[in-house]
Amino acid sequence: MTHEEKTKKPSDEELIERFQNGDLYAFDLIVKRYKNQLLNFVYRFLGNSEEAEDLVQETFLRVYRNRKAYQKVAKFSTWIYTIAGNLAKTELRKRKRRKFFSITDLGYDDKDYDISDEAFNPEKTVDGSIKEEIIHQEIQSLSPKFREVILLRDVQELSYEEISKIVNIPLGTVKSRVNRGRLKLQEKLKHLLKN
Amino acid sequence: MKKCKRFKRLISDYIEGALNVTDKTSFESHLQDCVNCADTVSRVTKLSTRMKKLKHIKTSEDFNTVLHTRIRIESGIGRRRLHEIVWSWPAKVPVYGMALAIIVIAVVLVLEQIDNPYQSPAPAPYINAEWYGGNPDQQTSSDILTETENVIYVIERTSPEKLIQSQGQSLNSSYLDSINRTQDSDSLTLRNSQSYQVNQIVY
Ligand SMILES: [Zn+2]
Repeated sequence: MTHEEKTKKPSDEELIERFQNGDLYAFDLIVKRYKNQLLNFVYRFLGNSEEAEDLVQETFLRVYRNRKAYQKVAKFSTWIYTIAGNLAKTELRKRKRRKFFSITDLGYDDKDYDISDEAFNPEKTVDGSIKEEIIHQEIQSLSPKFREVILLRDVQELSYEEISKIVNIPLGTVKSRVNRGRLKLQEKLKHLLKN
Repeated sequence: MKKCKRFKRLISDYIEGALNVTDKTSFESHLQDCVNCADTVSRVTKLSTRMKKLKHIKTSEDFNTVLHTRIRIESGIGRRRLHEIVWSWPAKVPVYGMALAIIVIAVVLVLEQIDNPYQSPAPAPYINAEWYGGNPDQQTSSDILTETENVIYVIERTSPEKLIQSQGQSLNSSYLDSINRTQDSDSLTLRNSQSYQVNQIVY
C-alpha cells in the first residue's frame, strides 16, 4: 500500500459518521474491519466459536440500532469493544445461572479440570495444535476479570488507556490486572514455557 | 522473598520497557541474583509473545448475509409475522432457503408498508448496483468489499419491487443465476438456516 493510499483510507470515526448519515456501505466496511478481530476476542473470552459468532452478530446489530448514540468524543474501537465485552460478560453470567440450576453440574468446578496431570503429555505438545488447545483451556480457567484484560492486551494488542476505557476501570488497575493475569497464566502453563 | 513479590509486580512494565532507569537497574540486578524471578520473567515474556500468535479464527462465510437479514427483519417486521416466516422456512432446501427468506421479507415489507424507525431520517436501504460498485475514490483496495460480498450486498439491496418482479416471473434465469453464485461462494448450510431462530431475532 502506498503512502497516498494509506492516507485515503477512511478512519473508523469517518465511517461511523457516514453511517450515521445513512450510508450503509460505510456500515458494511465497519463490519468488514471489525468482524474477525471481535470474533477472536469473544472466542477467547467465551471459549466457544459458535457462541462467539452469534455474539459478534449481536454486537453489530447493536451498532446498527444505536448508531445515533455513538459520539465522536470516544474512539469507535473503544465503543464497539465495550459493546462486545458487555455482551460477553452478560453471556457468562447467564451461563453461571444455568450452571447453578443444573443438578448435573453440582460439585463440578472448572478447577477439577487439571490438564497438567492427565491430558498433558510432553510428546504431544510437539504438535502446535495441542499446545494451542492447552493454552486456550488455561485462558478459560482464568477468572473473567483477568481473562478480559489479558485478551485485550495480549491478543488484541490494545493500549492500556483504551482497555481502561473499555473495561471502565482505572488505568493503574488495568495494568496490575494484566500483570497478575500474566503471572497466573504463566504459572498454569509452566510446562509449556520451559526454555 | 518479600523483595520478589515487589519485583513480580513490575514484570509487565519491565518486559514492555515502561520502567524508569532507576527501577530498571534495580530490577535487573535482582534478576542476576534470583533464578526464580529470572525464570518468571522469561516465561511471562514467552507467554506474551505466544498469545499474539494464537490461531485466528474467521467468521463463517454467510456472516454478512445473516447480519443483513437480521437487520432487515428487526427493522421491518413484527413479532407475529416473523414467527410465521421462520416456521415456514424451507429448511430442507438450504440452497434456496436464505434467498427465499429475503424475498419473503421483501414482500412482507412491501405488503405491510411498515415505517422503519431505524431508517428515518436516513435514506432507504436500497442502493443500486451502479452506486455500490463505483466509488473508487473513497476506499483503498483492502476497504472495498470483495466481489462475493458485493453480490450479496446488491441482491440484498435490490428494491422490493424488483424482487417481486423476479418472483412474478417465477424467478427469471439471470436472477436465479445471481442467487446461485451467491450461494456457492457463501455455502449456506442447513445448520445456518436452522440456527436462525425466533428468539435470536426478536428483542
Ligand atoms: Zn526474586
